Amino acid sequence: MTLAPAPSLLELDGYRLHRMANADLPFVLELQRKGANRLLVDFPASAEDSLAFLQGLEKQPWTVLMVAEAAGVPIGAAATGLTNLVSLNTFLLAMFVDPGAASIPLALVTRHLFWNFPLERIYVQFPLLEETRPYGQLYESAGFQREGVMRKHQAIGGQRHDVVVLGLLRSDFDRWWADRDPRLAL
Amino acid sequence: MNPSSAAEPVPDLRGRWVTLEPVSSANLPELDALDARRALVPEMGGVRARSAGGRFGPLMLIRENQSGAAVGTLESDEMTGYPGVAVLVVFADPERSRPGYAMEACGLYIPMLFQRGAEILHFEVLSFNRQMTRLLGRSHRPPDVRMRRHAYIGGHFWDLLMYGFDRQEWEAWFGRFRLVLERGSFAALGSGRP
Repeated sequence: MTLAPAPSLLELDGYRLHRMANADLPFVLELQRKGANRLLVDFPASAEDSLAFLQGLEKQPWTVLMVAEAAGVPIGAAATGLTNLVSLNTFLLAMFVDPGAASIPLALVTRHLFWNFPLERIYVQFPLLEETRPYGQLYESAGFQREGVMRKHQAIGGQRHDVVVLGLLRSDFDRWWADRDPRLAL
Repeated sequence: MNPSSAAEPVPDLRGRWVTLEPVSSANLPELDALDARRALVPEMGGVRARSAGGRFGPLMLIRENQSGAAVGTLESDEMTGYPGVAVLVVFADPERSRPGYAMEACGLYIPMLFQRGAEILHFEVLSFNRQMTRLLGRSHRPPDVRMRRHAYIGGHFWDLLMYGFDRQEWEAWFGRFRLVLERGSFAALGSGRP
């Protein structure tokens, strides 16, 4: 992350993506504590360690840390990890203030990734709980397909929970947005 | 019952057809030879890095009792991001192993993983691995997850199938094969070889 002003990566319908900067850190840390987000992204306890975690992510290949805004107000953050440069896939970490209203920002994030890197596939995994249901709906609204459930894989509060897996292929992205919003076409 | 410590040494585990043997300096050349052959088996997905030590169980050789030949390997480690989940990797050398050997080896190895603290067993199968998908299909165990086009192997993208079992589910599933293994019937596990 840098201290430089953050230029837009993509803009559409009042939504804007910019590269995450140090100034975004308070928002990102607060966002992680909101709603189900703590179940999606596991930050270290301290702000310093969280910054180090994000900087570690940023050093990975083909990674861009992004913040999404709506009308100039930050509404979400995203990054990738576990990127496989042979199999051309990456794990997406994304969280939003209101996942029910984040289809377009998520579409911008996935478009930015497919546009800039030769990725074949983007995938997400998160525990299947009532709290995370809006995220399942969010990902499906952006073309992700549910690929199954890893049974009892996640331990939360001493109990094991199922983990849902959703994936978005490059071809899924093309097909999904060709009809719904051709402006997103690659 | 408290789980065994992962640091405790593991003894040889002897079955009817095979014995599992922890890898040591004594059998390292055999491991290297198996790894070299494994790299040429498409179903194993090519060469992959191996972590230093399994959280729940060590890397072990599968040795045929009759001939004493090393015919495969078994290893496991904790799944990244999922504490308590043991990922199992089994390699049975197609030139040296026989149907039933890998299954018997799993029957010896996997209870140890649960005993040493694993809560969930996880394994992954490439979608073109017909031997495994048929075996699992015959026992009515569909994959829990099909990660589409997740693995680039040999010039193509392939689906990766994921399976997960807790201890009870594993014992119930494996119980279907236990009788076959005890009777020593290769044919029931898909081979006409005596």
